[in-house]
Amino acid sequence: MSTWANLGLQDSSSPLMEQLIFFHDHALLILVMITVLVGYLMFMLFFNKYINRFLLHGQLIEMIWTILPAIILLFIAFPSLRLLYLLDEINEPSVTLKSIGHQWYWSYEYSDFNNIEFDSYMIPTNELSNDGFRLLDVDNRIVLPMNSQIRILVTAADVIHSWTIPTLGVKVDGTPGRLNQTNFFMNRPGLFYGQCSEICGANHSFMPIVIESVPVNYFIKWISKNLNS
Amino acid sequence: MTNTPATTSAGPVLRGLHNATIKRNLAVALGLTAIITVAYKVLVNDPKKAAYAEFYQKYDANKSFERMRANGRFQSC
Repeated sequence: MSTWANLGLQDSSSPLMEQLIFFHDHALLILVMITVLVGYLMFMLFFNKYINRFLLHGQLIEMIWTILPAIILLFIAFPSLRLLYLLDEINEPSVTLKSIGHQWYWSYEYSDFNNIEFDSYMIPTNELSNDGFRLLDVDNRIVLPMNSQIRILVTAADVIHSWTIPTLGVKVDGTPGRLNQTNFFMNRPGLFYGQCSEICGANHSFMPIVIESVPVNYFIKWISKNLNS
Repeated sequence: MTNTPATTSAGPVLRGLHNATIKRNLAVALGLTAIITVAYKVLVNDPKKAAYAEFYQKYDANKSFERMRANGRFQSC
């Protein structure tokens, strides 16, 4: 989750998010390079006293500042396309979770297991325990198995919402009348937090998401407990 | 009898001024860019990749889970 003074991306809990972080670092390296080069050239303009009233064209420099950026863009494009296709790879999810956005809470369904359903509301600040996270904790968390492919289907009941977990690199819009699907894989146990990412009214900032990532056997125990209750 | 100067000096340079200056500027610009780019790669990119590799090499997910569970972090178990 984000802690105070967090500037960059959250640490990843998914192999795909790891790749996204590395690609971000690579793209930022290229941006730093361009900024330093252009910044220095602009700075040197302060010290240039030459004037050419009859300057009409400069074919060589036009060629250079066309071809060089094209080459730089190739260095961004190839890793980007590699990652784009990696994100779209077909895999066989073992669990499917359905997430429905409402104003202003999420409801979840585990249809694989005799329709386990529940709503997930933010815990109001005045009811928060001393070790709770303000505006992030919820009453009923999503429980999912770690080291398993998870499929999530996101939709909404009223207006557009967006289901997000930054540490897993997942952001999926929930649109009324439409099902959006994505897959993710958690390679660490723990609690993963996210917040609604599409403006949806007065309490848009107050409908967070919490995933409990647990080993498969604990997930099965939790499912059995909920089936019986 | 005309006075001839003791030495002849070269006339002022009137052309190619920009190109002459820009060569030095370009060299400095490219050098600075290369140094900062390599420094960023060595100080930011590579250590981050190494940190992730090192973390996952020694990582025991179940041990981590048991530690969190003993601490009471989970609702479900």
